[in-house]
Amino acid sequence: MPQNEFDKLVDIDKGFVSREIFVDSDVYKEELSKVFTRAWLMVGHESLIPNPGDFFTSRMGEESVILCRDKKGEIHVFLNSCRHRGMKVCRYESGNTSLFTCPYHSWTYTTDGKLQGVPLYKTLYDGVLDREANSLVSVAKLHNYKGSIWATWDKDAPDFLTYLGDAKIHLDQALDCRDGREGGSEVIGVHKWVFPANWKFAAENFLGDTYHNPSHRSVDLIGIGPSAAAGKKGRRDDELEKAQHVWISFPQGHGVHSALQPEANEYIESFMDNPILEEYFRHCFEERKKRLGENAKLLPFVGTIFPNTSYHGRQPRGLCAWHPHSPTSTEGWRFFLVDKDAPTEAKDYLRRYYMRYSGPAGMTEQDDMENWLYATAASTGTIARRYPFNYQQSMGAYTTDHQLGGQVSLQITEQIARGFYNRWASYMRNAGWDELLGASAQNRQAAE
Amino acid sequence: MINVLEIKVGSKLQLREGIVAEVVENMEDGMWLQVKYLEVPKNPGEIGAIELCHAQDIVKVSGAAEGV
Repeated sequence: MPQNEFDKLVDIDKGFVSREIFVDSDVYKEELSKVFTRAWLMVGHESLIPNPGDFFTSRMGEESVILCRDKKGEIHVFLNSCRHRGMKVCRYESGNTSLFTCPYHSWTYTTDGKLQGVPLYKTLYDGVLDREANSLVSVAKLHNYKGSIWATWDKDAPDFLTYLGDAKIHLDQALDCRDGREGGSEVIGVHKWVFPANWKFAAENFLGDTYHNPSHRSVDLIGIGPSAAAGKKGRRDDELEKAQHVWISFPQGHGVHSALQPEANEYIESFMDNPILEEYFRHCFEERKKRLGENAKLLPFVGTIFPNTSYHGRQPRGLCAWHPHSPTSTEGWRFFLVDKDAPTEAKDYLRRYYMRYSGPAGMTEQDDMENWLYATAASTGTIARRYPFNYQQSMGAYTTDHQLGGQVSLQITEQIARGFYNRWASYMRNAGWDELLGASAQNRQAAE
Repeated sequence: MINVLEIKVGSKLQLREGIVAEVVENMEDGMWLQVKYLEVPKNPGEIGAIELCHAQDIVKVSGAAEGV
């Protein structure tokens, strides 16, 4: 597809995005080669592989990868494909091993990816096959960010923190301990399921599409939050009811919906269904305030790190990866997070709450999926594809001089989605990393 | 057919290409053994090397090593 075609499909100035980018197979194939081979992708969490030899098979785009801790304790991410004939060398979702043996011809790799065993090596290869050169294909760069593991195939990609930019402090809110200590999270479960929708519907949903709240009315009326039994309705407690909500579009294509607590920043009673949790979270809140001071006013809601990693920051709390399967099929993975040193009762309670909310059986996620899959299905038709989606909400209603960086809106906005698709178009045009990080946008703003 | 799972650490193996090796670890996957080369007629410099040895490379299990 010609490079400038993508700018036609994504018309940010007028606020239209073509349905083709959600259903067209050629666009999808180009996405796999231009977006998913370059952007930093979240592949898992270190708590899934705590011991030497532990592995967790993950995905980068459509491709299977192995997240593995080697004998020395170092973390690696490899393409899950034998260098001989391409068979998967690991067909389990997770486990512990000292070797990855290809079932086809038995080429065998150690946990640091080195080709170690080749049947009939002396007889058929004269003992001179270059085993080093035939190691498992490793990602170009890998970063362990507060326990979450990220990787890219692009050796020219910027380091992960540069890629994250000002979205960092928002992602931190999901990964840091509830009492403000850095990191310290662990995954207490992973849900995986396939749904018939384009992956971008899910990614966009968590950029900060607060406008879709009406689709969750039924859940809100029932009440599934941590104080539901005490009579509170809604999906979660009202921890942010006095906060100033902010919706931020970052130049790298990331987007977040966070909240700034008022000056007083008092604890709002939550987790009322369980006195142990209520006490634990009240304690965490006060500790966090002491530890972070003014910075404790920032609390998370949701966000998406371009292209396909989303997070829920608080109630519930977790990371999500939206793995593309086809233009109209996506595999959703939810990694449910808790503080590693949280009381067992808190972990158990949160696990159940997270499942009530998210994942294939989660009531809120079911609402979302219904929208994504019907929107995908209704956009595949010949007539439907002639009509682009409307992204004109809150045009221009943002500021660029806010302390949080990026384009900050104080009202519900599609500016984040416009930013996401604008950056998506940059990737599809094979733009350089300066543009992908938003340098050209920042220069243009500075010039203006 | 040799059942690799039954081969104990310390066993001596006769491998293809005239190689003699001692088992240092059974990987317990039914295919691979970690062995130490004791005799390598074509390349004596490899004596003492630790290598993975596949079931197909084993000609004969010659017995337990001395002292094992």
